[in-house]
Amino acid sequence: MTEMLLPTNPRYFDNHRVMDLLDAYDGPKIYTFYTTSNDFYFAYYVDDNGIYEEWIFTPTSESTINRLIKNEISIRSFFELNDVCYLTKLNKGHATSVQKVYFANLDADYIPENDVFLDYATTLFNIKLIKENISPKNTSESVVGNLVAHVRKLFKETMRTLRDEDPALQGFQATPDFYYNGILAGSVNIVLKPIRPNPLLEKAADVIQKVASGELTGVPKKVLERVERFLIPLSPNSNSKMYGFDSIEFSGIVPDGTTSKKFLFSLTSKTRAELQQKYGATSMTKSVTLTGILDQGIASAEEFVLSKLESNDLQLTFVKCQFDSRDIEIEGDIDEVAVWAFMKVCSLGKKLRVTGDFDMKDKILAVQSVQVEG
Amino acid sequence: MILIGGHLNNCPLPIAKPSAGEYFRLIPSGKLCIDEFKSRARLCIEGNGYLNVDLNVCEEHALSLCTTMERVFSLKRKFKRYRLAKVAVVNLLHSHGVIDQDTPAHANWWHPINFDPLTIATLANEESK
Repeated sequence: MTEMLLPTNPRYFDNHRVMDLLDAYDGPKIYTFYTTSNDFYFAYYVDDNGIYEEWIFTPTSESTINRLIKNEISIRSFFELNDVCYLTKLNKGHATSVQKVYFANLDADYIPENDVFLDYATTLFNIKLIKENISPKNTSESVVGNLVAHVRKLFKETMRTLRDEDPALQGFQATPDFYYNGILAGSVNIVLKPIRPNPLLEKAADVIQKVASGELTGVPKKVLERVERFLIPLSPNSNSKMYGFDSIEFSGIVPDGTTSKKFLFSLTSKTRAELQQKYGATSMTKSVTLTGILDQGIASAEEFVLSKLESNDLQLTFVKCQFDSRDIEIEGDIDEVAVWAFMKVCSLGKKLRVTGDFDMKDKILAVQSVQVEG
Repeated sequence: MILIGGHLNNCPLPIAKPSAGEYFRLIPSGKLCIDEFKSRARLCIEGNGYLNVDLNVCEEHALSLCTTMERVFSLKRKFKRYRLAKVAVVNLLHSHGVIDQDTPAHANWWHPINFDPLTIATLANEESK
């Protein structure tokens, strides 16, 4: 029989699984974790005296953490809401004593003043699918996957166009790095987390919000067109049984220096209809497979030219290809470095078979997979 | 370049690069002394053992620096540990080691083992910042 441990037993916190690191300075200072019994906690560093560290572990919920991350509540309010705290002494890295304390009885020094917020300097987006009677049961994985793919594509294309437009942004990666953390009741949470500070991502978020909200001041024409076109597949489709939401609401935070600014807009079927009317209802991309020779001149790790194309429906002799290393498939799991190395080896005129979506307007192939022929 | 460390695995991340500029470091003791510029591993302080190695990179291998005074003030207000801390201004040149700036306001710093960081650090006048 498994032994039941209470949180006041230091062993209760053994082997906890760290979820999100929310602040760090000389090591992590704020993070969330699950215990082995799947209880969700918030960990907050207090002090150390060279012998032991003092932390507050407080049981909480993901929705309360989201409010804290979005700066909707201060750190003090967060503790007030959760009420129960476990004042934990860590000696040699692990809990040696745990004391249950209610917030009202906690030493006032341990928690910051009421105007101190988490200021989590990482982008975070929450996407909510809005429809009457919606529930996680009728929000299929394919809808979520589709939505995530479209969001990612919208950001990637916006970042890429912004980079082309502004020489100061040349050195930044145009690939948003994010994951979604599952379906909550009636919503999909997509967390966008840049690995490194990336002004391109921040700028893209700003531009997307402006375009979606119709505030177009300062948005270059080319960027505007690109964002609008990628908003079309992301908007709800009233004709679709699976994707026929009333609206899709985007909210979140984007780092702005050391603080964060809020991100909020929504898309409706009307948005889709209006944009489709503007750009024409016909499909702008075509799924293709092309075989040709990799051109010697590779512009970057993300772009190459496939020339001497074999006969194809598009009547092309060469095509500019762009790829995102996270989407591409080359013999199993690979990382960006491996893709780069692969492309370098292939720069010696190898014959490649490439599949992807060909953009009829921009004449660019978005690569999904690459195979070496022969 | 030999970099400061307390154990064999102490080496900078490959992404870390030489960097020049003004950075800030919290000094909880209030005294500008060498111990305030040693990594926690070097001081043999065992931190939160529940965190995995990736999350502990800063604690095990490097010194944290703030890139802005706003971040310094934020840390001082957030954590009891730093509430009364003084602030050192660290004027880095490229020869002073390597930096990995992992968020807009935070950087990890690895400095050469024979380098005395106190030679480039001064206590800040916080009121003027």
